[in-house]
Amino acid sequence: MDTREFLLNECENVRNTLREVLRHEYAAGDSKAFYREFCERLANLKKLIEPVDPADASALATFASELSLLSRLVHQIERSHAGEFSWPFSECLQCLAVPICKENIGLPTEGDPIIRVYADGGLDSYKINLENDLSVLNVGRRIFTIVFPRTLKHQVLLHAIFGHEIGHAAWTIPSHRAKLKSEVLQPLYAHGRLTSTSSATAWLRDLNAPRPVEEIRSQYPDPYYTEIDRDQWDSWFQEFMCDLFGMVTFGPSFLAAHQTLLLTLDPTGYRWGPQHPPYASRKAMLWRASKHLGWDTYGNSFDDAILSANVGHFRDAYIGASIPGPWEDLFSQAQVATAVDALVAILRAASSEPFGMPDEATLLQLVRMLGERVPPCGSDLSGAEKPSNRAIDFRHILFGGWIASISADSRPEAKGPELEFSEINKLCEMGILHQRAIDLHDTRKKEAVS
Amino acid sequence: MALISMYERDNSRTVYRILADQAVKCFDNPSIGAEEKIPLANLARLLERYRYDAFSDHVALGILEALSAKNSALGADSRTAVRHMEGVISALEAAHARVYGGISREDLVRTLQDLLARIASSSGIDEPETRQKLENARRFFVAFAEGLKSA
Repeated sequence: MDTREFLLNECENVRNTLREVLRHEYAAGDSKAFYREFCERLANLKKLIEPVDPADASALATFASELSLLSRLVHQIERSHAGEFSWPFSECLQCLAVPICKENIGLPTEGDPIIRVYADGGLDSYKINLENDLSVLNVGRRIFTIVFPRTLKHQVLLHAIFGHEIGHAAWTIPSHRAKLKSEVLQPLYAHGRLTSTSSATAWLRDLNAPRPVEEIRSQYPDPYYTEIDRDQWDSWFQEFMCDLFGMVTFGPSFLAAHQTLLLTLDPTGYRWGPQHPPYASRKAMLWRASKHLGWDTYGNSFDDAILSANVGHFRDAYIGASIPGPWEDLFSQAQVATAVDALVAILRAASSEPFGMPDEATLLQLVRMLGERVPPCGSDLSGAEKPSNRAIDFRHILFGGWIASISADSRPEAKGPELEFSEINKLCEMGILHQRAIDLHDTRKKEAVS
Repeated sequence: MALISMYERDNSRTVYRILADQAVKCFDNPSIGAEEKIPLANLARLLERYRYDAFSDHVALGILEALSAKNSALGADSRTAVRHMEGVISALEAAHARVYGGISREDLVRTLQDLLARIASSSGIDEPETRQKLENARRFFVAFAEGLKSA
């Protein structure tokens, strides 16, 4: 059996595996879409392999690589069946991500990417796998796979971290990338301590850096570890951009998830790597962004004193009670404000709605429902003969969950023992599901009238 | 231990050579365009990157993946390899200059994407005006493929 014959045999194996994969139930989207896409890719590849010259080693290697990719993708899709992840959340995530990830290349195959979700092991497995490889031959509609840590599958409050990953997804769209570079990144690196690789290196080697930085430098005295090269500098700025992206898409819940997860993996908050700047510098930037968006005073004028106090506690815990330290504070208020405003404009232009703070009545309703151990959503629980349910953004449900997570049992309507974080998450997940039903009912009602 | 290990191979020139050859076949016989949507879409994507000079496909790690010990700079350098697209970009630029002279990247990409879309949907390809445009586009992709072979 020569290579060409083996590859054609493998095409059949992939086809059979794909058929087996469809025995599962898939939620969060239409399995027909990815089945059709897979079949088209496989058919295209087979068409290319059949006439290949057996001496064309380069083409054969490329086809082998493409088949491996398809095989891996089928395996990942197999793990995306219902039950493996929080599908109410993933549906909301898709609604948020798809508009910003839509291609515009003028062809019939373009359009919405197909988004699939699966769970993987490890706290660090939050990611979106993007089909953005320049040396991939065989993509009709792009397939994005969203990965959740298996153990955190129902912890919807932490899933707000995906706002950052959507930023990376947006970066893969060339027209968005051009705008992100010129309108978001350029203002950030135009001034300050990270304007160049040499200034970034000087910043890492600053003798006045906080103690944790000194300790890390002592552990790794080789100058290589504090030498920032161009690739690293580019990666760092992309991470800063994606953090802002997370914030403007998911709101304060992103800040809470960001801090909780990143400080778990790096409790010092000061470690850096080839792809990420120290958490402390990211938090400092987000503090300035919060200030620009008015989150530093949000809740101060609420009528409900308990809610106002709890929002204040949230602010202290996850945004920061005071101005960042001089080493961490890399960007001016004006730089961050320009970047945030540009991001908001980019999202709106792509028909993706940026996060807007909930009004007091909405937040109070959600927190109260949690206190009563009721899934928080826009359900009218007044007992009225004609309930007046309302639309509530799922991101507000997450925010309500975070407020409840730090407010202990301070509310009078709180029933029973203090809510555990896992309970809050389950209630919020159910709340998102209930809200979907409310929104669907509302949509059908409007359709019936029109 | 993996069955085989080797240094990562950059397939970009081979990929775009194959795609360019497929496009030329479509221009020679537009009736097959509807069955060749995938190659045409991938060429349209390449052109979109050319329009915005967006060729770095550095693949970012997940937000927490970047923090895990095995990916920390304070350990082995685990940065994902960046593809080297210089050969593909040079071939594009050469084909652009040879066939379309001084028109801007923006105009070039709009023109080519429009024609690829027409081929893919088999619409409006018989009009005399379109035929000349199709011939120019064909010459572009022939030049592009030749540039990739010689790179």
